[in-house]
Amino acid sequence: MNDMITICRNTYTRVLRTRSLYVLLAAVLILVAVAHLYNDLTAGRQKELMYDAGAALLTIVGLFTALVVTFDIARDLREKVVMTLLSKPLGRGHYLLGKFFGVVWLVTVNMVILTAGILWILHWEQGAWRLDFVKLAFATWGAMIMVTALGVMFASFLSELPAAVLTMVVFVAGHATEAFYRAGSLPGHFLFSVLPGFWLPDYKLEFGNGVPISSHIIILSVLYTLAYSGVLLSLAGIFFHKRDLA
Amino acid sequence: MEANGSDGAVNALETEGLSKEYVGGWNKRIRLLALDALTLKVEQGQIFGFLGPNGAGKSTAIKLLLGLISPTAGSGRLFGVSIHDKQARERVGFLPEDPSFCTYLKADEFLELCGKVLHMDRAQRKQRIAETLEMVGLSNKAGTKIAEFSRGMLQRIGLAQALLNMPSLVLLDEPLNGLDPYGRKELKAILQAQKAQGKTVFFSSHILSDVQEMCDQVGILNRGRLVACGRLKELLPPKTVRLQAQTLDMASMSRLEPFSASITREHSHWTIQLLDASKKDEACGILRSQNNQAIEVVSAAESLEEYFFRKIEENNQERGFGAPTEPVSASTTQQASVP
Repeated sequence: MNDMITICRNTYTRVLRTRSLYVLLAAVLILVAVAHLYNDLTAGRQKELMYDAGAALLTIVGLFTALVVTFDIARDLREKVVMTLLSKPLGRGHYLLGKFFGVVWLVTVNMVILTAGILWILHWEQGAWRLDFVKLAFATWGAMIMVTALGVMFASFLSELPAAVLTMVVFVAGHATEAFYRAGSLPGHFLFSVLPGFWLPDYKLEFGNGVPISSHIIILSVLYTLAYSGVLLSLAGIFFHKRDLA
Repeated sequence: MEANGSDGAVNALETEGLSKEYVGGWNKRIRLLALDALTLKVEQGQIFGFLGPNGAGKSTAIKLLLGLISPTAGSGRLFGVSIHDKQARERVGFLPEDPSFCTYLKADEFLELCGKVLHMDRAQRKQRIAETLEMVGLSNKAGTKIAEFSRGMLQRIGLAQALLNMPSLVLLDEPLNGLDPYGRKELKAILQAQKAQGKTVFFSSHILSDVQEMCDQVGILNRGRLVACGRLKELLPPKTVRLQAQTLDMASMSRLEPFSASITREHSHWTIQLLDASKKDEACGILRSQNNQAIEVVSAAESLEEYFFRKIEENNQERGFGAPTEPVSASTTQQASVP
């Protein structure tokens, strides 16, 4: 456990020193804040635009932060940090879990900052607290945990670029698995069963249009992402255990 | 089962038929046997030099011992514990070849991370980080980011992390790479100090003169196979001295016998083969007392470099790999007159 926490803290410290993330975070907050300037372009629908932009940018920041894990593991391999650490009595599973939780920690911090910022901006613009945005952010956070686990799994046997691209591809395809299922074919059913259902914790459309979603549904969606992440991390452990760190 | 060294203590390192084959290509047709049935024993308290041309399999063997790659056959043990068990690595320090480490951390932060992974408590970490930084000559760089380190400094910080928990076995992959003459001298002193403390040092190197100077034992790998292994004293016997004299009476012969391997009459002269080259002056004195014009014939010992090239060439010829890439020096014979 202590080994995992050590790697987790180290990963968090490392990713925290990535300047581009701060730039992205600031850019997102500025984008949401200046959404009222689009009033003329949106025929008076700037409130909806701000909400939608906030929700979409929350996903983008979460996604970019989560993808860091694929690059971080690859960098550790390239710089022989993995060799140095794993030549000590550190288990490969602890290393991977430490990486996962380190990035999840940062995803959480980033999303909390962003959610608080967007909530404040929405309140400033609209004069009311949009607390349903917290539910949306929580569901998005669940999706980002799944992206992080996916990134860890691909990084456990691939180099950084293929791992990052595949994570993105599965993230996009995971939003369409319901459509695959509705198509009714065998491959469609197979993809529905195997691919992570990223459409499940995605309530941007509902919240953006004021459709109420109960907290139970949100919690169930997040529980699904956690369970699926557990499966992905188990697979990552198996792949990484077999990998030659040459 | 624990295999023991000559003194009954468990071997620091032991392998039995350890092999690694890399398989590549879409149809798995590309096969490279990086290590072929390595059987090796290193007793505790030794400095072991692991030699071989580039691509011989030295780094592969070290990575196998540390569980960083999986063997395709054979087994290995560190202090009697299987290399597959992470406990085997508790008493081991490792320096990889051409390391770069966590470039975003400062030197002391990096050692702090290593100390935590080694399960050292806070007080131990603080003490050992200061000690190891001092030992490798980086105490004034504790707060410097590793990204700013030169290659030699990286080797030093790498050595510091390898020695942090005072391991019983230190595995070093090309530790002399990137070090200037002062750095090499300091490293050799550190490794000798480790040996003096009863620690085992196992390192690979291309700098044969340093290996000959430091090591008790060497192993030579060629194209994945161990072609020679043993104590340097046995592989490179000390130089011998023969003396020749015109006359030799019985009294002188009996005085020479205790330190002579043989005394033979050849045509018109006597040949005395000494057991120990250091007895040369004494033997010459005895011969001179008979008004002999003694002739000394010194057979120089083979250097490790010469031995290395000879073994590699022999092995290449045995296996049909053609001529070696490096010239082979023959052992030399010197002759000198003793007045």
